[in-house]
Amino acid sequence: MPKVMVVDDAAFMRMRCKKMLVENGFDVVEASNGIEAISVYKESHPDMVLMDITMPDMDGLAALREIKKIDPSAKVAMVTAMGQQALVMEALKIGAMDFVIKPFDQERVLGTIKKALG
Amino acid sequence: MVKQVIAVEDSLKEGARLVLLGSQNAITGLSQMVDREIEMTAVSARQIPVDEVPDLFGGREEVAVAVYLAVTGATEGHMFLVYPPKTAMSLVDLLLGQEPGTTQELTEMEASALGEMGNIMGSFYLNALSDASGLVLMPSPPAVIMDMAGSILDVALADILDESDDALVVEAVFSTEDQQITGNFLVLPSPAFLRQLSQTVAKK
Amino acid sequence: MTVSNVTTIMVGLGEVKISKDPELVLACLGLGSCVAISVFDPVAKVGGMAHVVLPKSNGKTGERASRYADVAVPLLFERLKEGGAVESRCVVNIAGGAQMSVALGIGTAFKIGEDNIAAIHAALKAKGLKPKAADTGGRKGRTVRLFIETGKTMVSSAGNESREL
Repeated sequence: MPKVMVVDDAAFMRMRCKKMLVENGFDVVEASNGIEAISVYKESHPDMVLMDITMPDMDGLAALREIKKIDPSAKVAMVTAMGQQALVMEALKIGAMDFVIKPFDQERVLGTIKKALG
Repeated sequence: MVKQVIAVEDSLKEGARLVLLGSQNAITGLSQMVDREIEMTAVSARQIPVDEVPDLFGGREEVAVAVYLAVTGATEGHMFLVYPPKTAMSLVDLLLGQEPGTTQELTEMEASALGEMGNIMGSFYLNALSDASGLVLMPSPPAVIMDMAGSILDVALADILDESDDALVVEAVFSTEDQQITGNFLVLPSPAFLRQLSQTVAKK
Repeated sequence: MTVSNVTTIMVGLGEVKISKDPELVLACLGLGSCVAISVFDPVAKVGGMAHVVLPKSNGKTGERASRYADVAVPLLFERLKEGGAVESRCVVNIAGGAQMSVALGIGTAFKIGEDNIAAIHAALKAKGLKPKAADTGGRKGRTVRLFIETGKTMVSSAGNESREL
């Protein structure tokens, strides 16, 4: 089963995403901030990452940068309420493959995962 | 019909108008999140003595549930969502898809749901200001606090009191159509930021 | 104590108040990072309270500077002495200085409560004084009341019984 890593500081969001992903046939691993995201990525090698931006200790853009260093082919979609142009540009520049605005439609997220997994 | 009041000095009026629009966007965010009609019933931008700010939460000793987010980036500021505890619990039920009355206390998952709501509203508010001004404005991760209103506000008010005796408060009151859930979205922007916003608008 | 005869006087953010009236209670409501200093001279029966908001005035002076610990403490004692208090007889209690954020496990660092407590201890030490009791820190808000009639300082939190310091 394809594995998705959900990175979000809100337990509520991780729960919601996990439920949706499991119902759609994905394996899920979680992280609650950027630092955890890096170590979980290294350990679990997910096929795809859903990454929040606003998190304590290390934000999503910094984590994206580190994960891309570890694995330049990493598929990371930002999933965030922060829809400001400058942030979208920066995420794409660092190597995010998509930028999903919260609150999101399930279809939107499932669509981006499909795209990532090819 | 939304009651709108802007009672700030002239140099801050344009900025205040933008902030009111930002608050409206915050409420749109909440509406999208809970997938229900949420109306803004009143909005105001006022300069009030710092020690009157707790009255907006019901009084210094009134127990409230608040979601606090700091604003960072091109400026610093404070954002609060405030609810009476019963309302906060009803909101959690809505967010978790539970029967109203299920949530009786705020443990990790419930607090997290409220925090995420604050994150979405705060982000939508900042996104609107960012679009209008071109500035990058980020929220901090949310903090959910249930305690006496005065104690929740202290850190934000201390920040203001270091410079001034007055607080700039933008308050948006919102509710579901059936009035079951009402809450306040409060922002305490710095005067310097409002001035900066006003100037940016003037140039456009 | 006849509760019905008691009038509560609020000591708001940055205020310093004293009283000799046995029918009065000085109170700081809903303290988060702020700290209340409650002082009573049991012989002169004069009491005072300061509601400290910030630790260091950095040279600011005047009435409004009483929001700072380093100004509030000396000012409080000055006013008490005007009211007949003798410093060495004074019983000092402090309460407040909590770090309020909770629940999500992300530890937003509101250090100002800690800084206020430290600044007050330092200002008291500079006068050769030590608090009898310090109900400080933690993560809950507090309300502090000083009853001039008895000199007792009571502290309460949301949903809890008040306790004497």
